Amino acid sequence: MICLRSGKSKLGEFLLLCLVLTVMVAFYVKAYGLDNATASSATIEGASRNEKGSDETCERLAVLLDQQKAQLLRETGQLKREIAALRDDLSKPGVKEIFAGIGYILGLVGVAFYFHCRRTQGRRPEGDEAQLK
Amino acid sequence: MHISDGVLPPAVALGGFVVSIGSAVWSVRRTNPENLPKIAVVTSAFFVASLVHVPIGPTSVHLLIPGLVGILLGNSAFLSIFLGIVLQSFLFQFGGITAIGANAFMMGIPALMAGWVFQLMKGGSLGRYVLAGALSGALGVTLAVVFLALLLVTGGEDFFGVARIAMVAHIPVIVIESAVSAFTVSFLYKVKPDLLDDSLAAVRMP
Repeated sequence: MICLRSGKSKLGEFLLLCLVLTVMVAFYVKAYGLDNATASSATIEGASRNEKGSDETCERLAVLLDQQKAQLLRETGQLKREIAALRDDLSKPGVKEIFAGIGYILGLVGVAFYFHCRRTQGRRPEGDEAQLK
Repeated sequence: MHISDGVLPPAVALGGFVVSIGSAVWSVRRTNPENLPKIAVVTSAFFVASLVHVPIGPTSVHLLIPGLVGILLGNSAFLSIFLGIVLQSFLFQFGGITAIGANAFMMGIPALMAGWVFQLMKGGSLGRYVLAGALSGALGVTLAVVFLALLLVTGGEDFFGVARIAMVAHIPVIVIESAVSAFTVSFLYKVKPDLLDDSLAAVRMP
């Protein structure tokens, strides 16, 4: 650049500028221009094909929708079966209820046994004995 | 095998309660208080036994052990079964709450009868004890099925039809229970024969 500025080559300067511009334009075309070109070509070319193709795409879409519906029905059926099995499991007595029942039994019988022991031993509660003294 | 709510007519449900509470009081008066720990353990076993399911085709029936309860507890058996049925109804939802009286009657009286049969039949040798145990175990369930059919008749079912179906469904249970009772009796005879010596004499509570 510096040597170009020395005045000798205004031509060189000009050529360099043209090179830079060409590179920029090429970049731009590559990034954006090409898509436009293909899209426009597709629309131009496809306009004639679209009328025939729309029936095919509709049929294809209908088939895909049916498949999706069948799959969803299968999955919801599976979910309903799982819910029924879960409800069944919940209604079964679990370990909690077993321990609760055994606790009740031991507690009630224990209380009855305690009163029997009090009666046979003839023992007074500690408080009364202390008061008697 | 427990009867649910709404199956029995109200008169029968109420009558069941009256009979059960009367029998429970009778059983309490004949309970030797020294046996209370044994009663607690056997009641717990009865309470939990109904969780053991025997699959029959599409459904399943469950183990009942009224026979074994009768063998082990004698006259206290009704009290034990009444308590077990009450707790099963509240905690496991086995049988309706209004049907507790009828269920206890259905299970408790066969248990008492099985206990009496065992006391009458038991003899000197291990073989005779085991035979008595097996017979009482089978008798307990059989009588319970008969009582179930009798109770359902009051609700308008045909007795022999129901009895036949219930009996056929419970045949595996009868076989298993007589085996379980026989094994238990033989084990207790070897280890602690006192547990089988429940005297028939009444023990009146003071």
